[in-house]
Amino acid sequence: MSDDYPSLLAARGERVLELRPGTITVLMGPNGAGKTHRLEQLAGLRAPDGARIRFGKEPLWLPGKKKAPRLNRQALLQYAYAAQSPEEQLFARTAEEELRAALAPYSLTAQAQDERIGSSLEAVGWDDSWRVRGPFRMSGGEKRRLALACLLAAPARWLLMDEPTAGLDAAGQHLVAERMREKRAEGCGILIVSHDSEWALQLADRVWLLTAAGELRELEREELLARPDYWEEAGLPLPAWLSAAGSLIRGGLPPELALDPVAAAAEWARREQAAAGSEAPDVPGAALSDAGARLALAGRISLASRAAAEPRAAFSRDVPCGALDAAEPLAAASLGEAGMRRGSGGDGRAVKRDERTSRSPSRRAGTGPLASLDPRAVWLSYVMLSLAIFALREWSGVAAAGAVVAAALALGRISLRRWRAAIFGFALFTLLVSALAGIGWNGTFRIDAFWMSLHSMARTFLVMLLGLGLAMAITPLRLKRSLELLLSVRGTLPVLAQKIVLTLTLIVRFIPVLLSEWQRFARFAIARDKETGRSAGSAIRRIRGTAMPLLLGLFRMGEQVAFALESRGVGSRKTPALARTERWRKRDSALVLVSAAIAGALWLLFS
Amino acid sequence: MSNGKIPEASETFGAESAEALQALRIHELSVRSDPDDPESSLRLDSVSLRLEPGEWLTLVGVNGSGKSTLARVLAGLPEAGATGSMARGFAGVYPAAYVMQNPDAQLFGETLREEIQFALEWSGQPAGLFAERTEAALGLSGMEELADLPWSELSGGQRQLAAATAAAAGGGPLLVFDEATSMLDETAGRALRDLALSHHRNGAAIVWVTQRLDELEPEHRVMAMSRGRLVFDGDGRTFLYGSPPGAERSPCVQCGLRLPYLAELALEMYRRGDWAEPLPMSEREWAEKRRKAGLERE
Repeated sequence: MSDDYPSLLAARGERVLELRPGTITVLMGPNGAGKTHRLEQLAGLRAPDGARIRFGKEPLWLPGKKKAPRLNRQALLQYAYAAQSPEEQLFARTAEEELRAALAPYSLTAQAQDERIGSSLEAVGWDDSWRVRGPFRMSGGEKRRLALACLLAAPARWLLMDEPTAGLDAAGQHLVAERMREKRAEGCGILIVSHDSEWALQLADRVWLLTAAGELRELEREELLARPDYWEEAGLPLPAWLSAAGSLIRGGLPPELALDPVAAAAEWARREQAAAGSEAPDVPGAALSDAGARLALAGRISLASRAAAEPRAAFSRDVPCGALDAAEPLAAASLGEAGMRRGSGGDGRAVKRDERTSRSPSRRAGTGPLASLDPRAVWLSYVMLSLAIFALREWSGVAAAGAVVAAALALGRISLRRWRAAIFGFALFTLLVSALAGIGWNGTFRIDAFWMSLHSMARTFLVMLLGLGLAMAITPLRLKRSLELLLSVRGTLPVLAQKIVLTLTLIVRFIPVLLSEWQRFARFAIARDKETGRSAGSAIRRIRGTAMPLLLGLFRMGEQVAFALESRGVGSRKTPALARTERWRKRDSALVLVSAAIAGALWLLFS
Repeated sequence: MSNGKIPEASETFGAESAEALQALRIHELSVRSDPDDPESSLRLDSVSLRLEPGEWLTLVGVNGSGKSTLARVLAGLPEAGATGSMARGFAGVYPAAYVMQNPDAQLFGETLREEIQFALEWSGQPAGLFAERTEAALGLSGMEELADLPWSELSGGQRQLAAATAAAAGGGPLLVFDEATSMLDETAGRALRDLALSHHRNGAAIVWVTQRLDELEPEHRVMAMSRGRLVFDGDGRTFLYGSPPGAERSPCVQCGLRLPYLAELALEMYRRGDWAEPLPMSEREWAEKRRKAGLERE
């Protein structure tokens, strides 16, 4: 078996993390420790940061010939991935199309594909009539089930899941747990990021515990159950259910029994009677044999015992329950394997946390010298310099203005790195437009027309650089406030001006969000489509799988933004009060004077 | 309603004079999922309720049960396709603070101080009080030190706390938290809950929408929703255990939520005849039970 299903390995330095086939590992840790980031690294959706990741024989990254390493498609094919809120990823018109997209990367015959679609629908309790249903007309719960079917459909040996129970009802959580048990019995290796310890630890064989500092500790589930100090060290408060179950375990109750509320109650009652000094036998055996007998009847200890108490909603109607017994207890053989590393949480070489890069590319709140100035002064200076630049006639003037812009950016310590793509694009566009302007009617190239066009575009370019710098140096809301103060008449702002200013501010504010959402859905598209190519064709396919979820995601976010704004009274109150937070100081006057002098000089000398 | 908005302060509720002391009342409220299609499914189905000034209401239910829609209506946000009547009472005519799951959709500034400022500008308070109000809001959530950091320096939990701090900075009589802790771990979730409790102590009514049953308080009022209908209105303990206790009768199970391990354990003890009502629910009550069984940690 180990030849067919070798382990998933992630190594950094001498530290090796191993996921074994036929086991469920749960990755836990506090918010911000980087759980999702780690999962995405394992899936090749993020740069590995020096980690060497291998799916059996297949390395995740192949060394590039000249450029950066590239993803190995054979490794990507080994796993199926379910991101947080996987329903947001759906993009096809029907459930069947969605499932076909999940299967497309695998070279399956039409018949095999059809069989997999049928069985994965069945696995989530659906019949064939669901094939033609459109995902976008489904309820939230139904979308989640379709996303689960997509995960189950792929012939993958590894399942990577991020918070699979978040937002699911009891029946849905039960369904996910059952399907994961089946996959484990089939020999799949499963890694689940979850903060729902009660659900996840019922399922887990092993736990990866990530501390707030980004260190990772590998544990058997039983170790984590019995050691409250590990939770504390990881920066996680001990869950209330575990402080009860854990005290039973430390009192000698085997962890599997403590996880079952009925068996735990039997032991609790025994302890209570013993503590009350009654005549109940103080031998663990008594209650244990009682519980043990019950367990022999119930089969494997699990949520299965609870399932009986849960309402069998439409969910479990078609779910095959017989498969339950197939789930083996912890495979002792695989635990004993040589080369296993465990409990080495204190390892200093533990993969370091990398929170900064895991975050969305949010801009820095205005920093540098300009942040301490009144935005109105900065804004006035910008307007004066821009007008002067637009008035330039001579090329020498453009050169001088270029120097002024460069000096302004340097003095303000503003880096335009974030915008380099846009700047490069605009520069290219400038040259292209100028070249087109130079081509005359009869095909000749008129150099003067080219220069003239380039001259006017160059001025726009410089003003744009200055404007980008302004946007970097002063945060959108400060800018908004300064505009409002400039435009307000006796303390109130005309409604139209108010609307325009607010709209502009929001657009600027949400550009970084838009970018990070695009990147998020692009990552998921890689996990689904396993596209590693750099050809135009694969780029187009990638865009197709990204654009639709992005659009829907933006609608959702737009709705939330609208709710948030409305709840703050925007729109229902006619006039916002304007806070005079900015104080005009000497240095503000100085800035305006210097800018005016430079603008004047440019104007006098070059226009 | 042809204009798709919920009518404000309808005359059926009579006296307007003591409006500030009146309960917020909703009567026979229904919302269709497609406002233009009278045949479309109901997101809310004839919901009626009263919310008293200063009350804490926990609203639970699975996804799609209609709890978010009801929360938005309670917050006074316009809801297309709504029929029925509502009197805003103490909540006033302006929308209440409304905190959602995703902090990044609710933050408009670049720092917390800026965010609070932005919220205050629209809160209807004089600009002269802003500085004082900002400090008070920061003090209440204990975020003074983080007030001037850009969001990228804050964790997800801190950003969520920031969003709540700003939303509540106006000091309104009602705050609505719509699954605000669902993306947070226990520590961050607790900090957010503490902020809500501070506002509650200061007299604000709180609507706390959640799927996390560990956030229920035995004595707080709980309302449960299922398929657009209110199916339970009572205290937290009855919601969890039922009355009389029993897994089958537990309103929690009936509305599709997973009965927590501890609740199952307690129900089993009750079934065995070892424990009587009231079954333990709070941390303190469980500690007491552990002590009795000699299970307290040394």
